[in-house]
Amino acid sequence: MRDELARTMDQLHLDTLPKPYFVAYRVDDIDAATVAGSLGSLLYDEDERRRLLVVELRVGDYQFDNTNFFGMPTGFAGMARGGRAIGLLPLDDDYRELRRQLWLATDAAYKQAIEAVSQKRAALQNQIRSDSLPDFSHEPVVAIADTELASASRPDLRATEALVRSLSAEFRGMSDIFTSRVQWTAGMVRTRYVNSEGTSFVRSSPWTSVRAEAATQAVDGMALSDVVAAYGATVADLPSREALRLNVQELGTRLTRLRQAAPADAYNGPVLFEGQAAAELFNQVFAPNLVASRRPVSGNPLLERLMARSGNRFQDELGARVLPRSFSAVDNPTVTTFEGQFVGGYRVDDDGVLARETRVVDHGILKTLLTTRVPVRGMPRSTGNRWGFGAVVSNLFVSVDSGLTAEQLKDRLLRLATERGLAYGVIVRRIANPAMRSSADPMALLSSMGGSSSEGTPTLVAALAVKVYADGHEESIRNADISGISTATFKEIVAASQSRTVYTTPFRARFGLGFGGAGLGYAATYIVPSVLFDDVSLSRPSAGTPALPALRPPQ
Amino acid sequence: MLDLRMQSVRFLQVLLPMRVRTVALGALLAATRVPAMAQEPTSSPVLQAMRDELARSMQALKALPTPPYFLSYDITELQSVQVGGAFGAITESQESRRRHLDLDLRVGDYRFDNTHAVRGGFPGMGRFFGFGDRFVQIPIDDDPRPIRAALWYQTDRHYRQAIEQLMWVKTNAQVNVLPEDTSSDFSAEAPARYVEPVVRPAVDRRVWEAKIRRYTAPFARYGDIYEGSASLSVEVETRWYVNSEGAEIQTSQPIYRLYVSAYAKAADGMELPRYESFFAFTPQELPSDQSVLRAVERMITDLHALQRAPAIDPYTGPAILSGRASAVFFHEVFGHRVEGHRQKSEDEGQTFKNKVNEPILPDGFSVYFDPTLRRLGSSDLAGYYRYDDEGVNARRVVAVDHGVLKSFLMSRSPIAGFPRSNGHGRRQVGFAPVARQSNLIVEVARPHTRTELKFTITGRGIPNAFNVLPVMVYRVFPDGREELVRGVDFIGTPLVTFSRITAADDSVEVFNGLCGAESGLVPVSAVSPGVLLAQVEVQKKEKSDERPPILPPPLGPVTGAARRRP
Repeated sequence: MRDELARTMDQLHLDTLPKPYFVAYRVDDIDAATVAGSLGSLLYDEDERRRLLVVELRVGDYQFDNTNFFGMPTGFAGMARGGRAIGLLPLDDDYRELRRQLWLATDAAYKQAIEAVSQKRAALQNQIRSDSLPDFSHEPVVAIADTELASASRPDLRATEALVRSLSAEFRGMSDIFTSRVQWTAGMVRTRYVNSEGTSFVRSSPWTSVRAEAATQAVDGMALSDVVAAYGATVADLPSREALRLNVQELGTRLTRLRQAAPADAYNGPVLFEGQAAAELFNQVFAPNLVASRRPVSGNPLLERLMARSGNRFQDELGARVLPRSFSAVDNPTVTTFEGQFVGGYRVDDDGVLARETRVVDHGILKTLLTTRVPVRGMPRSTGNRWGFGAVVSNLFVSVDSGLTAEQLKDRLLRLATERGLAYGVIVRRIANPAMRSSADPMALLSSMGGSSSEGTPTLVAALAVKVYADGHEESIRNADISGISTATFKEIVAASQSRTVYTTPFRARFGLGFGGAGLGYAATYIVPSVLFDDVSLSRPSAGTPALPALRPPQ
Repeated sequence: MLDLRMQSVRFLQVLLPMRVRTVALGALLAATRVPAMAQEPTSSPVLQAMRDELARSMQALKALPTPPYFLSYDITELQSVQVGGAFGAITESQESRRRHLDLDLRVGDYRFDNTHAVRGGFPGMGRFFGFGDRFVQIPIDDDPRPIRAALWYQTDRHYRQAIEQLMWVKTNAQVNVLPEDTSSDFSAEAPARYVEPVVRPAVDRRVWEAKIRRYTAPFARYGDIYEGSASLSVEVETRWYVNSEGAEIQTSQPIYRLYVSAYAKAADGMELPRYESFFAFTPQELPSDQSVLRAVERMITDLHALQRAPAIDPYTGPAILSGRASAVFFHEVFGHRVEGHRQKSEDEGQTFKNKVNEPILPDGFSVYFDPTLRRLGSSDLAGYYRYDDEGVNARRVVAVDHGVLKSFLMSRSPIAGFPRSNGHGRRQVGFAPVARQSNLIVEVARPHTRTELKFTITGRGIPNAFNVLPVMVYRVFPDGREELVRGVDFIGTPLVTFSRITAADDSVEVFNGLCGAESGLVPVSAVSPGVLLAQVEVQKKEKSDERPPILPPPLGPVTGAARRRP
């Protein structure tokens, strides 16, 4: 990589056209395995090795280069990705062949880049622009050699198969669960990075996860499903086998019980989001706005407006209040455990920028977003949050100055309900995560899909919710769509708990152009309190309900 | 559309290296160690589970107002091993083993059922259960319980979908005029019973990784060859099929394919591809290392010759298609047009619908399809199978007898005059079967020699002619001299071209490949002598405008000097 990089910087140019001013090579060695099972049998058991190359090549200078431009696509992959070429490298450490592939990928990236930079110049010649953000930020040079063992021991597949078989067999006795599956994945991404500024790093990112999903229909036919998952870097980070078994079993019994529960009535009033539900609120509604994404310029002002509209609202709200004054939020990729529980993390990001703590919200006020080396207005430098295509949340710690105990929080909920003249308040304990929903069973898809989402307020689906009455007794509710919570309503949180939940889940950014995915195995961790909102709407889904199966399942 | 068919002369080839992006570890490794030697083939517990659940479903659904009249379960296990490499290095090496379910549930009766063609409108509209049906996974363990649970759930979904469809197609049939072809929706067939032993792939991946490195290393000698890759793909397809008519079939068939592909660029940016493919049912039948390496050297020589070759000028005139090119030509232009369901669908051209018993080729030409042929000469035939994907016995079908059209390829979807299947209902896992080709064989009563053919054309005083292979095309001059040209693209109507077939030579060649159509990819083969076309039309193909790389290759060509190490 170094050799070809040196040659590129030294020699690569076309006739009178400029040389690249920045080139980075990133090679991800991916080694992943998946074992899936259902009702005690294996569905498949597979592993995969790939070596992925990403070339990032910039022509021009830090102030103005070929990127952040949305032009007419020229050639393949010319669009918006701006001078980046992606390819598969051989798995063998064959020096000659690796260099050959780097050479071809660099050549392709260079040709795209020079074309893009001239298109961009031409397009901007006819425009008067108010902002003149640089295209790329200067960052300190770092050199990090991996501290983790290169050949981290591969997981024992026999033991994993046995685990998947036995966990999935938990559903065998549950005839009211129509489909179920347990899936275990583990792997390691070993990243090697060099750039022309002298930065280089080697980084190992291992991950392991187990998830169980189950779907059924309630007695009235409405679709019900839920997914439970556990994440860790290695098997050692996961809950014990017995704890996993109990989780899976509980998932089955919970769904079985919910089949009989009453469907949600229309409800407008206070709702307490506990544990996983609070974490999912942050994950699905709040956190996607914490990552910055540069809005590319374009030759077409109309198109640019359209792109700005789909963008992130927090980007123009630095200094605004986005949470209650007692709340602060910190992103910190360098933490690896919290109160003994696994938390993800990394030391250096995909731009080769050192990971660090970033205070995103300070006493309710938005201080910065999480950024990459691509500057956005008000945020000229990287916060070290580049992963894959853009910025990501790593470990988001949300803290409150004066948290309540669980009892106090419940009392508060009941008081608010009474003030409204309501007979009960609602506690939501689990929210379905659309990123985790199964594609294998349409019933699971149906049950986790919220209704239409009006602008900025996605409809969330409660996977587990209860009515709580003044005397403290609870009644389960199923099939409740939650609406009325948007990024803007987070500042109206009424109260929060002292204790915090640690919750890890795949992170999906809301990028301006809809490119998502922070890469294989990437998950964000949320460390958040339970939160009470004053004004939330619950309703049952309005879509029709499929009939129940004509036959009982085979015994 | 017509032009595309012609383009797919190459499409068919390009599809050869199908990649499965997945790998099985332990399961498959363990499986290969199990000796597959059952003397008396026994039916698998999978078949038993399918039979039991099918009986239970049919029995219970009988009580409902609209009971199914037909139900079939088809579980396909695909075990695959893929080893790929380029320029002497391995790029992928993986294994996988998965099982998928295909299910056919029909309500109504053989004459008119839920699959009846909808006229005007979008089939599948408004159906909730219409998505997610493909690729239903079935456990790879033989435990009947989870298999039956999956069958139960899918049967229910298909049942609901079928009754919804039936109501819709009934209404649709009432509001539209009668179709031209009023034949039944489904043919009744005698139930087949057949069990053969389950085969496991016999491949040592490390051995093959070494071979692939060796096969692709020669390409690395040249800086102007931009792709030089090879892949071995082994696929064992084991199928269990049961239906409510009483059919029970267990088959297991391995396929070994080796595919070598390379491309270079001409100075004007035109990409110049070159492929070689080898096909066999056993690893022993694959070519030796020596003959693969010879083929690689030939490819390199050809690529360099193509770089120097002049680009084609637009041309209209006679051409000789070599055996393989003719085989592909017959497959594309003729084979697809005798697939039975195309004569019924009102969206199709129905080219040959009213041509039965009429001459469509010179009277020396016969064309038949024979899925029961496993091998011809020294080649295994990819279109070989014993039972089709609707559980119907494979059999030989004479399509053209001495120039006269006799029959179509039939699945269980009848057409006017052809009420029964002839064992050609085929599909890829996850697709509904339709009539597809098997082994297409062109036979000629009075072949000429190659030289005779050459002078047949040039003798007419036409300045030049073409001998067309997908990528290697030669201009033939009146004195018999040949010149390689590049960038050839067929244009014009293939059927017109088909009608210009005038003679054939005596060198029969086999083409094995995967054919893609509405029921997915199926392995096929086509066998033909070289044929003379009185007239073809060709033009220069579109080329990429991208310049060759700016910098020279990093280490320059290898000239025997010591390699640099990092």
